[in-house]
Amino acid sequence: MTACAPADARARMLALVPAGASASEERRRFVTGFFRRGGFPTRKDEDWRFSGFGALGRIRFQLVDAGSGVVEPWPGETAGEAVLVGGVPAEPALSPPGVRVESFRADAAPEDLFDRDPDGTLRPALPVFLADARDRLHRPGLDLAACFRHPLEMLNAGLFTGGAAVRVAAGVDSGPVLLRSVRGEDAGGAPGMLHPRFLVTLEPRSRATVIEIHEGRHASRQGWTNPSTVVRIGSGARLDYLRLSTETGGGSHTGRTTFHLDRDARVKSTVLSLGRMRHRHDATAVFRGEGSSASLNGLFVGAGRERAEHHTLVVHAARHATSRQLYKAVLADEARTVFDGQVVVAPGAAGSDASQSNRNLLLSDGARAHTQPRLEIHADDVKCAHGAAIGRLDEDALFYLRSRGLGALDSRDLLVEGFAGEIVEGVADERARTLTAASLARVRGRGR
Amino acid sequence: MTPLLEISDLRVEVEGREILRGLDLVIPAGETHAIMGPNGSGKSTLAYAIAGREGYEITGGSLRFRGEDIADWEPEQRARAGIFLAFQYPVEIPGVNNTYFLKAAVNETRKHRGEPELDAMDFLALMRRWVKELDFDPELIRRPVNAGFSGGEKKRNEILQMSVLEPTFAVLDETDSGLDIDALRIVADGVNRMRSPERGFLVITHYQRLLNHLVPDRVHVLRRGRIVESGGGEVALRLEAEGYGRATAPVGA
Repeated sequence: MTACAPADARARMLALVPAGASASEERRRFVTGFFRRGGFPTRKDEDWRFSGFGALGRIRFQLVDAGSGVVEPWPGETAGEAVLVGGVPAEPALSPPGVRVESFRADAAPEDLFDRDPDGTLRPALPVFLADARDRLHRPGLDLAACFRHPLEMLNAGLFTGGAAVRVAAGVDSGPVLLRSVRGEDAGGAPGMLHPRFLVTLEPRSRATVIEIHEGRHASRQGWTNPSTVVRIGSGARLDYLRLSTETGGGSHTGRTTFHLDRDARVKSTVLSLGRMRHRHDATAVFRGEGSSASLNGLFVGAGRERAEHHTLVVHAARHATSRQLYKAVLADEARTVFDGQVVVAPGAAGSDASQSNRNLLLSDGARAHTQPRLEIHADDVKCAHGAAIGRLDEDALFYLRSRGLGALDSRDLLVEGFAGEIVEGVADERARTLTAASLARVRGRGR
Repeated sequence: MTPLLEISDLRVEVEGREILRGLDLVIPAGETHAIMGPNGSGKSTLAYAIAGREGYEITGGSLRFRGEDIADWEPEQRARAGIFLAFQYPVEIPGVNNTYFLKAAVNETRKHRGEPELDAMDFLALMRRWVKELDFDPELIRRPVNAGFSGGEKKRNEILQMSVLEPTFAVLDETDSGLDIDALRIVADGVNRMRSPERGFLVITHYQRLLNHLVPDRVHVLRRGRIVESGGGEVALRLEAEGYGRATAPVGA
């Protein structure tokens, strides 16, 4: 790996913005902006102080291509599906009635899937984090723009080569829709990067189940996957969202999911980080309408020297919204985790009800967990609760199970499964449950 | 005939402190014994020592179950051999389903006895019978073990587990504490229903009132880690009236 000047990195990244893509000028500006703001975040950046990704800036990435990867069909029942390999559509998408599922290449994105700014500029649902600074979310004394300024989001916005979009028509119940991104192959032996982009729109009073999957193997530890998902949930609509990452190969996975909720909209999100990677996921929920609610849940199962961070940002920008967060980690060997949970209650967001819980189960002396609640409350009449726990298996519970005849090892297994079960039990997708069980079986064996 | 439980000169240390200091206790099959005693006398330590809890170190004497020295047995070995402990504070285990857990426990014991494992249908039938018999809220068996149960529900769950597991010898560690009179009766009935010439019970209690419903064959008074007095039901009645003050000197000391 050769070190190179930031200017080189910028030029190389700019050259990778897909030519001929819609809004390619705007996309180039994201890349430029990314470097102007400091490029790859390092530990010196507040939001990245647990682990920086500065080393990525020294890698001469190429975009991965589809290669010859064969995609195994996803078991279980699905109503709709879009599959990307190497960031571009691998097969025609499947749409159930009343739902539009499309996969697209960046140079041929269906424009009507995206929004336009008031001045007519195409806004391919990319710079939501920037737009928010301008629109009605803005409150005096609250720098929301800073909250949304995620550097790697800008790079995804600039560099995505393809993605998939789902739009559920008003009043429709979509059934399970799969969005799969398979890693693909590194081009010409250079370390590969992948920036898939997903857009999910629920029109008012619709219901949807969306299962987003990131899978495949990184060819080297220098591989990088940087997906982004933007979700808009219309008034009275309900989304059940499952995000599953199972990538292997020890590279980096930095993903984001951002939910925008209108009046009385609801989302239940479950993030299962099961990959053998250096992993970070940022879940953001923005309550734009009164009475909306979000339940954000996550599980990391790690062994060896695997790392996963779960960062959450919940913005109560409307009154009487409810947020619930429950994130857990099961760690063996020298696995590490970070939970960084931020709750912002904007001025005037009375009746906000926010709670946050982070629980970490350490199965070995070398495992580490770090938890950081950040509550920023600018309104009165607000309920805000948070709790965190980092601990070993409960000796009382172990003895209780053994005193009923269960073996010592079986008792441990049962407790580990039970710990993770609180997150997994609400997950309907059979394959996700099987994969979680397999991950747990792997760490359990090492905790003994 | 070999007694069911035979404890002689038992010494148990917890975190380096001697709690049981030469305890003798013999419970023949078919009998129910009660142990009473003030706080800190070692009642729960005795219960844990019998069940094999880690950290309850036997430093002297012997602990025999059906003639076998079980001092070195793991808790699960003891359970499979037919020893049951109804906990004073049943543990909440979020995420572990009550029915699943109990089925696993029953089948471990059946395996140990060389009996075929129960399948899901047979086990559910068994559960349904006991849930009805013990007036247990059927919703609770579908929930995680003891999670969010009230104090009374937890104690009933202990009796449910005991009934389903059919132990040969059961220790009830202050199962009556914190129960109202109806719950107390259910606990007592649960034990009475199981009493048989082959089984034995050790009932640890603070109060005499349980013994009105669950009449013991013998009552022992535990004080400072030793049995200081033994007798019939009259011992419990006298303790209720006079407190533990009189039973200070070890018998024969």
